[in-house]
Amino acid sequence: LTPTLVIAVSFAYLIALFVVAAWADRRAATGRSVIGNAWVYALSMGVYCTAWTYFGSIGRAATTGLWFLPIYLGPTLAMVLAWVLLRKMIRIARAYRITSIADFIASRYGKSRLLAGLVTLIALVGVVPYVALQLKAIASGYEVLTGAGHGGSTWWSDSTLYIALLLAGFTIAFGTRHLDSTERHEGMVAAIAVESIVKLVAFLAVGIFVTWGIFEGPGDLFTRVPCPR
Amino acid sequence: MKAAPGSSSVGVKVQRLLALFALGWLVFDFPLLILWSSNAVAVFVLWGLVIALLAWLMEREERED
Repeated sequence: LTPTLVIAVSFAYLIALFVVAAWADRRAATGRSVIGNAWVYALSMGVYCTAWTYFGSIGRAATTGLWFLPIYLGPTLAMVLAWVLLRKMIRIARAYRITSIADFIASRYGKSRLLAGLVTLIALVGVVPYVALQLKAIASGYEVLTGAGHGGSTWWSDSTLYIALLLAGFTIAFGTRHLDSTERHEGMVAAIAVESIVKLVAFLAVGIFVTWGIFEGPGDLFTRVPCPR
Repeated sequence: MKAAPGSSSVGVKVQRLLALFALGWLVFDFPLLILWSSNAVAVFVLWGLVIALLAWLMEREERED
């Protein structure tokens, strides 16, 4: 695929997501929320499957067989307690107008500023390599699609840099303009739900291709799964 | 603390969810995981069962309310 085509399709997809977000925001403003639906809400939870999930879990499935499953088993188990835990967290966040995990944990321990600072620091240190992985995943995806080599020898010829700048621009422009705990990001949730459908279809397409394209059906696939040790 | 009237069904629901979580943890963690891991189909069936049980628990309670 040519780089122009890949970039054009990516932009078209982003624009489509913004259209969905704008539509959901308008619906919310007229009191006809689209995210009050259990299906839409459940789909929006698929946000935990990041860009890296596609490399991480598929890579693990290819090399270690069944050991990719805990990536999904863990969240499934966590969601068993969602009704108990998430509702409580949402209630507390609403009551104390909390917008961040640092404020949330600090509020549980007497609004300690030291603790809030520590949580922010840990979250920052933890999230930077993770964000880097996401960017690397997008850049690798782009390289696979266009057949381009691994960036260039210089830092400014690595496509990851431009993807990071682009995503930072979008985040500044659309993501963090408001900071209000009482506000429901209806448009954002709706866009993520649509994204989850796309991811689901993509995952199913890969699954069907691998099962019937590379192997000869589920039976053949399961007999060749490497036995985990 | 004494339970408020009407909260007993909520309490039972929480207990059932906790029990399902414990069951899931037991089934999907070592040492039991080693038992299923030699049979890929078994893990998927158990995974489906946990989700089905969760759906049944939540929906059933809703109808009772």
